[in-house]
Amino acid sequence: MKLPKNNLDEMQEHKLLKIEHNGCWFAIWSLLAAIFIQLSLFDEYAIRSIAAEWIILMCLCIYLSVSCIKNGIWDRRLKPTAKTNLIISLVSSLVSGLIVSVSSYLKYHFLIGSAITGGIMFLMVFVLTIFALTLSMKFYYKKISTIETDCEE
Amino acid sequence: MGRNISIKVARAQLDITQKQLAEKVGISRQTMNAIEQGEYNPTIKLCRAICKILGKSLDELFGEDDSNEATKK
Repeated sequence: MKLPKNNLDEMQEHKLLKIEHNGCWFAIWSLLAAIFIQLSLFDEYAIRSIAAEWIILMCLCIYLSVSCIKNGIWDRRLKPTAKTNLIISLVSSLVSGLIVSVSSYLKYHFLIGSAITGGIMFLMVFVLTIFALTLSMKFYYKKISTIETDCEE
Repeated sequence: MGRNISIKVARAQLDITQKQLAEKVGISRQTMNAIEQGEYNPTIKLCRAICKILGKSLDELFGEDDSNEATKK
């Protein structure tokens, strides 16, 4: 099917891309917030209640990650190093662990149990994040070397 | 980015309004105004289209000289 003609000029197109970019990041952070809020509020069927949000968030993240790596882009400010990956993994796992332990304590009022739950979450998120980042970094460097080889020809 | 006075002068020489120039180039008046005000940095393709309509060279319209205000950091 042929798409209708683009009515925007290059500046309007640039502005629209910026608006869509902001909307995309707003959606990502809103979905993440919605997931954490629902996990903290619902006792039963918590996993079922966040399923749709989680699937959308994962699709968005996978799309962004794959597209960036395919184009040899990592991040605007951060560099792909083991140290950066370690810091990001630590921060994200600490935040997740803290949220989970606080919500667990608010639900069950059991301090040690909540601390253990938070600790398990911390470990799980840390291992998964560092694994995902290291794997992405490996793919990124592989893609960068391919792009550079193509440029030399 | 400074204001682009050269475009305004060239436009005045040909007695063309901002709207007419925008229409000839195929962009909105909003974009043409942003280029003249130095609020938008056009692509080389658009620069060439503007130069062609106004009968000027890229250097005359987009080169850095006294007629164009200096780039503000």
